Amino acid sequence: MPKYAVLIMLLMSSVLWAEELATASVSIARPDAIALVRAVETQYQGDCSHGKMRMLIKTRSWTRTLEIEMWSEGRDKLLTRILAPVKERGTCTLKVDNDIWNYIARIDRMIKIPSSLMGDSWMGSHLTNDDLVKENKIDQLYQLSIAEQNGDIATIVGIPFPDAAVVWGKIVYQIDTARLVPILIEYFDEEGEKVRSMVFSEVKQVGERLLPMLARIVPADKPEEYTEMLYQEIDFSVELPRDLFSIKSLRNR
Amino acid sequence: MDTVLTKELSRIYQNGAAEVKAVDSVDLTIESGEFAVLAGPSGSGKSTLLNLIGGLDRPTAGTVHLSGELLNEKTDDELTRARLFKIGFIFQAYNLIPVLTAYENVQFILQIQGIPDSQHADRIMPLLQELGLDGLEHRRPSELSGGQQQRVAVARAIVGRPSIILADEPTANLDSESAVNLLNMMHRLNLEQKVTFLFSSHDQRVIDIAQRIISLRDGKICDDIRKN
Amino acid sequence: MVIWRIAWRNLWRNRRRTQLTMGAMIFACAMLVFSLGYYDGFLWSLINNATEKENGHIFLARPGYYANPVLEDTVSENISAQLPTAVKEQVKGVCPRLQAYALLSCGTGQENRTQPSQIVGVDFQAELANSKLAGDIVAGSFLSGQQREILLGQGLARKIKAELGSEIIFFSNAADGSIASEILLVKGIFSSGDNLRDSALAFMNIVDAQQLLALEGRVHSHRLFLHNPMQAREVAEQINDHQKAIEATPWQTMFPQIADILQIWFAIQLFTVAIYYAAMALITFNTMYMAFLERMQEFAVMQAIGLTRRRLARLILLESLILATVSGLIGMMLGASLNIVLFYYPIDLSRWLESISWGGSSIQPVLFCVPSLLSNLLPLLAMILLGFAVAALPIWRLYRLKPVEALREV
Ligand SMILES: Nc1ncnc2c1ncn2[C@@H]1O[C@H](COP(=O)(O)OP(=O)(O)OP(=O)(O)O)[C@@H](O)[C@H]1O
Ligand SMILES: [Mg+2]
Repeated sequence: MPKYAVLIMLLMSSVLWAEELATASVSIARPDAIALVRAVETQYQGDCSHGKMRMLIKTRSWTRTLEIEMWSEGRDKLLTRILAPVKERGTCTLKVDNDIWNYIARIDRMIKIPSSLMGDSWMGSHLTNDDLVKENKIDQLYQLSIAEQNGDIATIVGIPFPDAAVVWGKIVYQIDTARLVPILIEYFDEEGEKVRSMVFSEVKQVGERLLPMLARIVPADKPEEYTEMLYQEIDFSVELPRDLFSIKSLRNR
Repeated sequence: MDTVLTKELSRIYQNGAAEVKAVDSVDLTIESGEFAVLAGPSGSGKSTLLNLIGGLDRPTAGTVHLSGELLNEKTDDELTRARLFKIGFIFQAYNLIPVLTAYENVQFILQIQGIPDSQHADRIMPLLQELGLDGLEHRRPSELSGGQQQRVAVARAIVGRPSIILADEPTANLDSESAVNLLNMMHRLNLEQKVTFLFSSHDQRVIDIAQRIISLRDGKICDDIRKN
Repeated sequence: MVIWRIAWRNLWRNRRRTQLTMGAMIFACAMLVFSLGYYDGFLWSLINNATEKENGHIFLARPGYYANPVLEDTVSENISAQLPTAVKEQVKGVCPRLQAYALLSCGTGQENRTQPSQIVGVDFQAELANSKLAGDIVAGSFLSGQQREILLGQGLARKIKAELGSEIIFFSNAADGSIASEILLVKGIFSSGDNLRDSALAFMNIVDAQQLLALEGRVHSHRLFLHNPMQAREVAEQINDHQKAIEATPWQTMFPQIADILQIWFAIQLFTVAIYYAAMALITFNTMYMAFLERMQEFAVMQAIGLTRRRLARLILLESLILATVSGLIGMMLGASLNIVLFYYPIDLSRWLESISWGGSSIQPVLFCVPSLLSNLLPLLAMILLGFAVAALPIWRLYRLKPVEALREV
């Protein structure tokens, strides 16, 4: 990714997704690891979306809930805006290509997040800035193979190609091949040490598609902490204004 | 009583393969109160004999008794103590301690003998007077003439009341007048205070003053004349 | 008595030689005292440079905070109630600090530059009274307690293109997880000599920081400054025995390199003494030994007229000890005076030399000495030992001397 664009994934579903699904469905009898992962990783591609989610962040010393509104266009454009708590209302994050801008409503100022800070936490959650940015050409960076097929559950292991510039040393997917939804993704470092895991649940029908509504990220070194993202509204059939994903629009939101 | 008694006293130097018998089986007796001279040509063994008697050198053979004590058996430190209490030395080159005044040079002996300070002046001042050194007691050796220095040396030798004064060519560095002068003073001390003197010389005028002339040749006594 | 008199007068016998010998010994001793004082001063400034800007002599925080600083691990800003009375007497001053990680940003639009930085909230009055922080200001001025002031490290200011008076955007997460944001104004720019540190460090008023980070009344650490920094370890132990809720870390733990140096310091001092000692011994030994050899005949005469070798040896020893002790005392006084002068009026050489950072501290180009009893007494002791050494050889010769032979050389 290397890192998986969870936020966006939760907004997903698209025509293309449908196409990918169709492709995957064809080979269900003899599941293809690449097709499966690509289906999960690129389900939002070329799509416009608008949605609302509740983010629950729990750390050692505090717990808080953010209400976030978000818009996306393809994999390159993303805008989030905090609706609650009131104190932070209006604070936005804009991602265009590889740049991330934060607009801080309280002081009416904007800062650009430099590339050196991509590993930093996004708004205090267990997501990183990088999770918003990276394009997910998993199948081009990782050698994927089905390690295990247990009923409808396929375990797919991704090992980076020798010359690939990647963050993870290993990614393990668990995918429900019947419904074509992710169940679990685990991220490992170069030493094979687990860094974090992402668990999906509450699969619901959105339009024509099945989507997990809840994702929970748990850092491996602090198992008592987590960030939960619960999707509340999602709409894939929206028309977005042309200049939505621009710096100027941040202040006006 | 005999002050000095030597028996078969020999001192042989080893000069490479050659042996030099500097003192050769000397039997010599010096009695208390004597004023004796060791005469003889250069190399006859005068200095060597005096050093043996004074416990500065050790004999190759024979014995030396000093006031009845056998020196041969003494350790170096015992010999030093014997020299301090029993012998007064007068050297050819005076050999006063350069950093001490005339008075202090004399006092030095009393101090190392452990005589209480209170007695020092009483013992030193008459002696310096006797030797014609009054007024010079605070001078350093470098501020005194050779004759004056040697008289201080005489005072230093006598002040500790030794049994015998040994003087190796005490006048050799003096002009003849000072030499005779010094000898006369020594002789007077010998007569008045009964101090025993044994000195060496090859100056005939000095030898003539002595009461006993012991002649040495090649380390042996060849003549021993007592005047009356 | 007479031995003393002879010994004393002999020193004045060859006045020029004695003066030269003493001169060399005085110089060597003074240099020795001075250099030991200088080493102490060097060490002292090393400790102070390491501690006075940053952690103080003792770092007080919640247990574990020193090793692993976490935003939430705070202690009360009121510390004096928690210190044992015996410790309070040793404390010269306390600097409370709040420390956080934040993004600092400057400029608008595409000109915006953002850098992650260490933000330290300080009590400006306590810092002025105890630490050397204010001395690092190279532009503008130190914090004055006004609202929204910030001081930037020189490297940090350069990276985000900030100048005096620039608006700085502070962006971070507060201790309650909320977003902490504020606009601050650059009050001053500092340079500590440690470029790495200065490129990611900023100071602000602790009250502002507490508010921003939702930590009112809380601080992360208290840095204690002691009257005697060498006592830090003992004082820290006292605190740790008394208070389990806070952890005291002495500078020796924070700067192990400096503590290590201190450990071998005595050895280094001894080594220095040995080198000086050897050099000076060579110089003085020669002259004094020659002087004694010239007088061998004099010694022979004294021995002939009844002075035992033991007493003669005492004479020789006395002479060389008088010379060594007198020289040592004069040299010690000269060296000590130099140390005292340089203690109160250090000479700044920064015009010619650069400072060096090392082991968490920095070495300033300052000629600074700390006078101490050890650095004064050690050289004196060395001198006295030299006195013994110089006397040893003539005495050994004396014991082998046959007076007859020495006398014959007349
Ligand atoms: N240390 C010595 N080693 C070898 N031979 C020596 C030594 N001392 C003296 N002699 C020799 O012993 C002999 C006696 O010497 P001594 O000095 O006793 O003579 P002296 O009578 O005192 O002569 P002078 O009148 O010249 O002083 C001489 O032949 C001398 O060369
Ligand atoms: Mg002779």
